[in-house]
Amino acid sequence: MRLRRTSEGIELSANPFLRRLLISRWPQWILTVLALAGFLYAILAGLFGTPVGNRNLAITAVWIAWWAVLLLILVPLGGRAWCSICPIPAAGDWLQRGGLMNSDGRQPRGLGRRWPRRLRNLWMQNAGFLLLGITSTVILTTPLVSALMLAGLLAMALIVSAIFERRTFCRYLCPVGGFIGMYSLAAPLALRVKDPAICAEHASKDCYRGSELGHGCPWMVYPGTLQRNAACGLCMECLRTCPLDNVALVLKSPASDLTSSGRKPPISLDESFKAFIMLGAALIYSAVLFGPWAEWKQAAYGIGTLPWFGYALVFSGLALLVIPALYATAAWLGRHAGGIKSIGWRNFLLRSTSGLVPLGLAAWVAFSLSFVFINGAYVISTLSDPLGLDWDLFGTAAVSWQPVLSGLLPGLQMTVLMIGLAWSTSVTIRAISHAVSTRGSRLLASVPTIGANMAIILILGWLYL
Amino acid sequence: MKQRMLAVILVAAAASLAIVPAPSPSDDGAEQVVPISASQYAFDPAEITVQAGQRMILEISSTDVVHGIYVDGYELQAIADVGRIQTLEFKADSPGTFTFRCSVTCGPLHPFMVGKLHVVPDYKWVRLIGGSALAVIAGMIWSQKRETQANI
Repeated sequence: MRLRRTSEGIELSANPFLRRLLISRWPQWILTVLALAGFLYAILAGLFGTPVGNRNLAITAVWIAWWAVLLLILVPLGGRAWCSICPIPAAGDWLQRGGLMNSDGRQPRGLGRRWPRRLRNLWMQNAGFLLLGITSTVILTTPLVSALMLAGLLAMALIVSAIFERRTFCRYLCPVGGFIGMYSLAAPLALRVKDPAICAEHASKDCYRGSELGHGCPWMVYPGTLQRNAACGLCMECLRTCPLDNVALVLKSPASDLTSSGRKPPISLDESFKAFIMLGAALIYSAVLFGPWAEWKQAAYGIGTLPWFGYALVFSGLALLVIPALYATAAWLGRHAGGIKSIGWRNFLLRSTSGLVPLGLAAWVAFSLSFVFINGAYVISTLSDPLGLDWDLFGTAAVSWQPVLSGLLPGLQMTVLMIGLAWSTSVTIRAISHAVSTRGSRLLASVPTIGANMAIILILGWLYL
Repeated sequence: MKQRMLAVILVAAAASLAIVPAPSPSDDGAEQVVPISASQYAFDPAEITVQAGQRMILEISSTDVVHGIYVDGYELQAIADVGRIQTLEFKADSPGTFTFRCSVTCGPLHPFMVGKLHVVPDYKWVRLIGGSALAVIAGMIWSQKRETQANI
C-alpha cells in the first residue's frame, strides 16, 4: 500500500486504490442508502412494533448498535466519518442536487437561503442536545418516542435543506452532529489541502463553488484554509472537485487540532459549552442509568412530573452552571498561578478547557461500553424479531439476554478513563503552552484545570468501579 | 522515544492500579443472609456491603412482576417469581464493587434496574486516586515529548 507523508500527516489518498474509492460516488452512496434503509426500518419498528424497548429494533439497533459503533469506533478514529454516510440529510441532499446521483454541482436546487449569521455556531445544537438529554430516558426506552424523534429529525433535515443552502441542518442544527464535530477535533482522520498557496492562487475555487465534477463544499467550509476537523463532514466533495489534486485525506496526530499554535484559542465558547454539556450528560447518565438510585430513574422517566423537573434542573444546572463554574474557577486560578498576562482570562479558559475534548470522549466511550457489553445481546435477538411479534427471521430470536464479559467491564472503563485523563492532561498543557513561555509557569497554570479533570474522572471512577 | 515509552507505561500502571482487585482475605467461615426485594425498577436494598471471604445467601423475592437478578463479575443468575423466595449462594471472594441487575424484561426501565454489591475492603479510593495521579504524570510527560518534537 503506497502512502505519502506530508506536513499534516500520512496522506491516505495518495494510495491509488483508496483514492479511486474515495472519489467514486458509489461506495458512499451505497452506504448512505443502506443506512437510510436501516433508519426507516427502525422508524417503522418503533411505530408498529412492541412497546417493550429491548424487544424492538428501533431501540436496540439505534441506541445500542449504532451508538456503540459511533462512539467506540467512528468518532474516536474517524471523527465525522459517520456524517459522510448519515441518512438523515440524504433526502435533503438529493433534493438540492436534483437527483439521487447527480454529480454536477454547478446549479443547486432549493431556495438556497443563507443561515442567519448570529446562528452560525453551536448554540442551537447545544440547546437541542440539552433538550434531548433531559428527555433521553424516555427516548432510549420507548420505541414509539424514539421513532417519532428519528422521523422528526428526518423531516426537519429535509425542510431545512429545501429552504437553506447546503448542509445547514448538519452544521448548525443536528444535535448529534454538534458533539461529533467537537469530538472529531481529537480524531486522527482529516481532510486537508496539501499546499495552501496553491489554493490561494486558484481563482475558480471549485471546491467551494462546485463544478461539473462535484458539489461545492456541502458543509460551507473553504478547504483551502481548513485547519480543524469540527466543520468538515468528510464528504469528499473537495477531493472530487479539486482540479489541481491539492486535497488529501490524511492520518494525523490525534488531537493536533486542539494544540495548534496561534493567538486564537483551539476551541470557541460555544464548543467549550458543548464540552461542558457533554461531560455533564456523561456524569448524569452514568449516575442515573447505571447507578442504584431508583428514584432518579423514575424522575428521569416521568416527563412533565415534578420529580422530572427536578431532574431536568439538576441536569441543566450541572451542564450549564456547575461544570462551567468549576472550569472557569480553575482557569482563573491557573492564570494567576502561572502569572499569565499575554492573553485574557476568556482566551485562557478556552485553551485550558480544550482538554475536555479527549476527557469527554473518554467518558462517553466508557459509558457506551456498558451498553454494548451488557445489552448487546438484545440486538442479536431483535434482528430476527425486529417488531417483537415472535418472528424468527434469522434464527436468533431465541438468543437469551446474557451480558458479555461483565466482570471485565469496570476494568475496561477505568482503562479508558485513565487514558482520557492522561490525554487531556497533555492536551491542556500543550494548548496553554502558546500563552506561557516557561515550563514551570506552564505547569502551574495548568494544575487547577488538570485537578478539575481529575475530579471528574474520580467521580466517574466511583460510579463505575 | 523514552518519554513516549514512560508515558505509556505510566498509563498502563494507572489503569492496572485502578482495576487490579485488592488482595482477598482468607475464608473466616462467616455467612451473611441478605433478603432482597425486587420491584419495578429497584432492588431493596439497592446497595449491599459484605466483608470479602464471607459466604453470601441472597434471598430474592419480587413484589410486582417477574424479575431476575444477575451478579456481574460472579456471573450468577436467579429468577424471582412474585411471592416466591429464590436463593442465590456464593462466596464473596473477590473484593470490589459489582453491579447486580435485573435479568428478566420487566418494563421500559428494565435495562437500568441495577444494584451494587460492595465486597470490602477494596481500597477503591486509594486505587482511584493513585491511578489518576499516575495518569496525570503520564500526560505531563507526554506533553513534554510533543513539545520537544514541535521545537525540533
